[in-house]
Amino acid sequence: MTAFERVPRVLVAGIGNLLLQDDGFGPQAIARLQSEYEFGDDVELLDLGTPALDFVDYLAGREVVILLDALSSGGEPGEVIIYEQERLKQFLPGMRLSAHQPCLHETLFAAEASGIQFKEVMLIGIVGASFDVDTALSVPVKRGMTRALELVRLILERNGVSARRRKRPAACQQWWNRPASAPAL
Amino acid sequence: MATRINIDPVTRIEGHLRVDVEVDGNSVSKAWASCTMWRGIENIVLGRDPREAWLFTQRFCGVCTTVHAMASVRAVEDALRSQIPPNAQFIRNLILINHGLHDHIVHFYHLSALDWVDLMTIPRADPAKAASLAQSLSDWTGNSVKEMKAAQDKVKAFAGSGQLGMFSTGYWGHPAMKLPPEVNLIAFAHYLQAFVYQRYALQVVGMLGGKTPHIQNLAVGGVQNAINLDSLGTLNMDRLYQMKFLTDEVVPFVQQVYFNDACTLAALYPEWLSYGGGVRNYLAVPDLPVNAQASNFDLPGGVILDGNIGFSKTLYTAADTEFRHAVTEDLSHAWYKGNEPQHPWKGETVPHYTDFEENGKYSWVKAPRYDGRPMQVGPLAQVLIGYAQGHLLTRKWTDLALEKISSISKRKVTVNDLQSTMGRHVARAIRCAMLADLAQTHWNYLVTNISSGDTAVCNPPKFPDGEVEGVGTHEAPRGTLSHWVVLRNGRLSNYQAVVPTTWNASPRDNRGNPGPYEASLVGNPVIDPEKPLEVLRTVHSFDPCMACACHTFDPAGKPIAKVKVL
Repeated sequence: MTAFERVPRVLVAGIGNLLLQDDGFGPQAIARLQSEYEFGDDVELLDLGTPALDFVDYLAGREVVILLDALSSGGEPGEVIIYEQERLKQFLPGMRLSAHQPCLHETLFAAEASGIQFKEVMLIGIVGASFDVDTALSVPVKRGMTRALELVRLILERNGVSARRRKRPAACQQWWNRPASAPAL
Repeated sequence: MATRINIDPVTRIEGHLRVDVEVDGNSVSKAWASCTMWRGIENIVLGRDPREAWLFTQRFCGVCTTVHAMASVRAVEDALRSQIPPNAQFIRNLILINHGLHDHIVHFYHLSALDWVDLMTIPRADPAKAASLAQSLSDWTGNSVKEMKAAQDKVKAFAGSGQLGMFSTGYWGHPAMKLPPEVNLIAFAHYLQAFVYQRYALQVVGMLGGKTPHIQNLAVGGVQNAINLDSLGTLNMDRLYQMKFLTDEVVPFVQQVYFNDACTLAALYPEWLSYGGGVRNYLAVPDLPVNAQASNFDLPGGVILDGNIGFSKTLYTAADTEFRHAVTEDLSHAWYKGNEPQHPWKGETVPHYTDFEENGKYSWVKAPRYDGRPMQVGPLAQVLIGYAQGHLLTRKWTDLALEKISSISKRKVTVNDLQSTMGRHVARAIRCAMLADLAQTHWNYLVTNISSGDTAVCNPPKFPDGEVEGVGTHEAPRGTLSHWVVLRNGRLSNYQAVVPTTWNASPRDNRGNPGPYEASLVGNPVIDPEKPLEVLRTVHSFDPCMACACHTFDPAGKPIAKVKVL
């Protein structure tokens, strides 16, 4: 995506660090969505990892932005919680809702300051259990994942985007789980 | 009697930095910098395919992702002694330059300006007076009365509502805040504009790298950008000119706005050109290679020792033999097993937590040393080293900065004054102005090379049997970054990242020598121990980024920084 291209009106963005277990929920969810679902042209799915102000750019021109992120508290591990725009805005910078709270707060301010127009942003979060250095999700988050993906589908449908489960999943692009292939010696 | 202050975590930075200082008679007498989160993320790539390591390493940190990708591919290429095509050099350089532009703009305006600029004075500023003052310093179009008025209205809105939101943690009204309301207003107007321009620089990174953060176009051996000037969907003339269009917007903002603001700040806070020097050994590696062999660079590297800023030893290549041998990491005050300094290729990361012991182990950051010495890295090191070597671009912008600061402050400011807290901000602005020139230069290199018919982008790597070692460096926005790899039979058998913040936030070593943050805080004034703004000024001047220095996030989440006076 660049400043010169028109963007799909709905963005689903996975946020988080793949190397820190449940913090990688967002990016891992994006890979699963791409493999297990089919979507209309008006939605874009992106693994945005750990964006700082980078994130501002991805808001431009969107009607709906759905963030997928791990939550550090707020419920039982594996619980899926939806935060809508008004609630997201209420969190002070010091109160970290998710592991990337500083980014989210500043992003919304920076977007406004740069005159970037978007309509709605919401967060689908999952409460994490373990954030150690590893690419594997914890058991509760793995279990909660399927529910989170179905919620994404429902929210997209409610916003007029076609989204349906594939009968047979396509290949899942999880480079972090790829067994190291034999290098060309 | 000495008062002890503990700031944990230091805010407006990524990650977890704790600073403890002892204040004696309104001045810091001792300081400790500690990273409070465990490091060890490098272990995740052990045993993996070296061609994929960069995908992982660029997730070490949420802010400087690109730089860890670049250092990783360079490290593997160094181990293989392989070259990459000129197009790949230029594409990588343009990514690094634009990432640097973005990063410096954000650091100055969004992460540190509010240590100096008191927002709460802005409602009483005169926007017309602010505009005319700003116009006398620069003919930038964003210095109009209308822009100043709009910025003031924004402050009035949130100050009036009592909802300070993201500004609720500032030390407003602190006696060390000294700028007139109009200057504060100018700075805040530029703070808002800076959001726009940092974004343009990032868009160039995204156009070449596929997306930001986490670029997708690298490969060991070069880049994966297909070049075909006439084809859609590849790097073609259209896209090259779109990039140029963005760069042409960013350059004037950096050179006419950011550069001026940093000089003005230095002129209006002249006392801060004397505090915060600290460690006066400086290190920078050369960067922006201009040929396939990577034997010539547009940015110089070298070493300055003991504050002798008239002379810099030169590091000729990005992985100079001297550099390869000089770097060690000392563990005597870090929470790891072992006390003997280790070379990064032999380095081990075995945790050994002891609690905070000011005379023993107290940080998760290792203490990197160069020939046994602590080194300061970052824009100040880059500028002093370039200046000592007579590097033309460095001289041009440094001389201009010194002239500007001297003329506004009406006192002679020299390059020696840059060894200070404020000097680090000025040096960052100098470096950024240089990068703005180089953004245009390297765009020209790339277009000229492609126009000559060269479309090669990658030399696929060949991995030898047995063990080989490599180091990949990048002179990142925060300073010297090096990734050290050992490959055994084509797999990664060791991986250590020695990052800029490891150099600067380093704890003491086995000789008791403090690291740059610690040394720079000694002698700092502290008017009010409950609100240690001056401590934050010096720490923020280094542009700390603890996420990769100690490599992880805080899962539990902490409240706003706690300042404890003990």
